[in-house]
This record gives sequence, structure tokens and C-alpha cells, in this order.
Amino acid sequence: MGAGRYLLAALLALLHYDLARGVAPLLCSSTICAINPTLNTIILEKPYCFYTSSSPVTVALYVARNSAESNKLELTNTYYTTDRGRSAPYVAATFKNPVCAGDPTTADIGEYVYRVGDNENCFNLKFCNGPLLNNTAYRFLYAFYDTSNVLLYQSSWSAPITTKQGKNPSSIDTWPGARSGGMIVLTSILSVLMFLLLAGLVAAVITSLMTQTKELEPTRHESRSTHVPQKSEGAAPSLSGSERYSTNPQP
Amino acid sequence: MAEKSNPALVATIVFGNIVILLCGLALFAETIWATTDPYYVYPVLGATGKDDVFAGGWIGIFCGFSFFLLGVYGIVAAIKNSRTMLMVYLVLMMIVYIFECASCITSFTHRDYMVNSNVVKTQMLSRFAENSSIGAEITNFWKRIMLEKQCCGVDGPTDWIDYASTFRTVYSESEAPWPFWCCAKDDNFQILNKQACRVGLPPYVYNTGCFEHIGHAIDSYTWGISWFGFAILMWTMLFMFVTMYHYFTM
Repeated sequence: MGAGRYLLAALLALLHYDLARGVAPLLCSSTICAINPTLNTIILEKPYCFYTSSSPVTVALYVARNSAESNKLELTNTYYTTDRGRSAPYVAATFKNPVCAGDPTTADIGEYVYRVGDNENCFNLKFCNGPLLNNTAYRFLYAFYDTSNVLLYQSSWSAPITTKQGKNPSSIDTWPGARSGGMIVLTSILSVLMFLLLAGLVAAVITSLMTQTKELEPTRHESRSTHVPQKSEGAAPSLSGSERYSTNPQP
Repeated sequence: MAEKSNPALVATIVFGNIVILLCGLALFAETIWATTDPYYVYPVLGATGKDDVFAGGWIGIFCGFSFFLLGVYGIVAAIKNSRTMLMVYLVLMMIVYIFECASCITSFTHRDYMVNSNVVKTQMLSRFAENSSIGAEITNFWKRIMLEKQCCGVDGPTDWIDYASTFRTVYSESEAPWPFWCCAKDDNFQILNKQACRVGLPPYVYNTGCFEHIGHAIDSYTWGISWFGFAILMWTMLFMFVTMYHYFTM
């Protein structure tokens, strides 16, 4: 698009500069044709006010590659006989000379612009407006004929306009690049917290195991060791003499 | 094992668990919403094999309901003041916590990969109009989003011009420089002005890209699954520590 605009500007400059010598076909304004040229088509403005006449006039649009061998205009040249504009300019289309006074609206865009390369299937057509080659420079010219095909006037050749070359989709870099801040925050915080919680849980399990063994085994020992002497001490006065002597030698 | 307990601590744990169980229900509902894919972007994620935003959503469903159940169980455990129940609560909560962490991280990581217009563009160029089942899925997705959201391509109609694509090999540029789904349509979905659309006249061709809508959809799922899950995990973490403290001191 940038190249298109540049070309358009160059063409406009050329047009203003060359008004004395004549006019040349122009690329469609970028406000109307946002994407122009494309791979196989180039949209041109129709020759408004190029040539005014009261009698009916037919316009022929000649298309040639920039590297065409000849520049000779022949109304019989077609898309196929000139090898798509390689050997000589071919007639892409003929249409009525647009009325200079008319101010076309965008609704009838076909009245205002002409799309070169529009017709893929040229079966049984006198003039074929077949697709252009991609990444190839083309030049255009409008020629004005009367009803008996006598050349009345011809514009000058346009500056070369190059069609685009489609890039391979696998050339697009799909690497995500830097990670988003949110992802880093989320992952790091969650990992740290998970570690802390796991540590806490392990600590809880260990302490529960320790306290269980402490609680179970010592209480049994304590109950025996404290219970028996207490019982013996508490029961001492009521014990029989033989037992008393055996356990307690003191008076 | 009836032991002495701090009533304020028990009350705190009960409160925390009420919040956890309510949030668990909300997460359950929200992840169901995300996995049902109301924005219909699954084909885009599925065709790249990076559909783990939805895997995170499925884990989130499980975790949300588990949080709900464990919240109830935690309240019972705290009120009965049983060490065994609290231990079981902590262990189960830890398991759910780990799964929920996985859900959050998975979802967000894959969101980072997919919220990249180049990935979606490469996929669109190679899959749109492709004669395969994935191609059909992707084509349907694009037809639908371009029609509903009135947009064209990933970054606009230039996508179809600047790059070679499967669509281009099927339809020549003379015939359709971009899919006619990019052409402005009337209320009955009839193309307003085909010729103007083909030359790219702005009101008759949608000039904006669709990526904004796709990115928005993926982002809103991720906010639901990852950030809401993260918030619940923050809260749960606090009350797991409180419960552990309670367990140590009882």
C-alpha cells in the first residue's frame, strides 16, 4: 500500500508536470481503492476529461509489460496473442468515453474505475482482460477511436506499476516473544505458595505422627509406673505384714 | 479426642471455608461457561494444538466443585474439632490446590501463545478453504466471525493480498481478491455492492480485522479460569495456614 501511494503521488506529480504534453492513466485513488495494486490486478481511473468530443468515441485500454518488446498499438492485439503483454501492448477492454461533466458516485464504482486483470475466464470474448502476473511492472495507455476505428487521440504511457508478490505464510514469525507479565506473576507466586503449603503439610504430618507415638507409648508407661507405686503407697496401710516387709524393709 | 480449642480460631476457619465453598461454586460455574465456548473460538485453538486454555477450564470444573465439597467438610472438621478430620481436610485441600495451580498456569501459558495475531494469521492463510476436516472447521469459524463481527481476515483484507494462501490457490484474485464474507451485507446477508467490494471501496468491504474479537474471547476465558482461580488460591492459602496453625496448637 505504501508503494502504491508512492506511485500514485509520483504519477500525480508526473501528471501535473506533463499536462502540456498530455495525460496518462492513473491508479485509482487510494481513498477509493484501499488495496491497489494487488497480486494479479491493478485498478485504474477511467479517462475522465482526457478527450472530449461531441461524436461517439470508444476508448481502448492498452496494457503492456514494462519490458514489452514493442510499443506499437494494434486494436487486434489480445491478451493471448501478445503473451500477456510480453511482446506488445494488448487491448484489455474497450468502453465508451466517459462523460467529462459526470461526477460519478461510489455506488456505481464500475463507471469510475477499471479493474485490469478482472476476468479470469475469457472464453468467447473479443478482448480478454485476463489476470496480470504478480511482481511484474506494467504500463497502461488509453487510446480514443471513432466509430470506424480511426485513432483520434492517445494518452501517454503511464509510469510502470508493479503488481505485488504474495509472501509465503510460513514466513510469518509465530514465536510468541516475551511472556506476559501476568503469566510470570501467576506462575511464580503459585509455585512459591505451593512449596510453602507443602512444607506446612509435611510438618503437620510429621508432628501428628510424632505426637501420636509420644501420646500412646509414654502414657502406658506412665500409667503403670505412677499407678503401681501410688496404689502401693495409697494401699500401704491396709496391706498385710508379709507384703509390707517384702517391699519395704524400713520400719 | 476432645481437646481445648480457641473459639475465635475455629470461627475464622469456618468463615474462611464458607468463602471457599462459595467461590468454589462460582469457579465451577465460570469454568463451565468457558468450556462451553460461547464465543466459538475453539476451532482456532484446536487446530494449532494449543487448546489447553480449555484443558485448564476442565480442570477448573473439577477443582471448583472440590473446593465446594472441601469447604463443607472443613467447616464440619473445624466444628467437631477433630484432629483426624482436619488432617484429612488439609491433605485433600492440598491435592485440589495443586490441581488448581496447574489449571491456572496451563490456561495462562497457552493464552500467551494464542494471543498473537501471527499464529492466527498463519493458520487462517493455510487452513481457510482447505479441503480437509480441519480446513472445514477453520473455514466455518472464519465465515461465522466475519459475518457476525463485520470484520475481514486477521488484520483486514490486506491479509489475503500480502500473503499466498490456500484460499488464493482455490480462488484467483481476479474472481475474489478476498473472501466475499468480507463484503458488506444488508440485513438479509446479501452483498451490497459486489463490484465495490472487489475493488476494496471502504464502506462495501470490512476494513477492520477480526483479531480483536478472537483475542477478546481467549482473554475473557483466561481471566475467568486463571485470574479467578488465582484469587481463590490466594484465599485458600491463607486459610490452609490458619488451619495448620490450629492443627499444631490443638
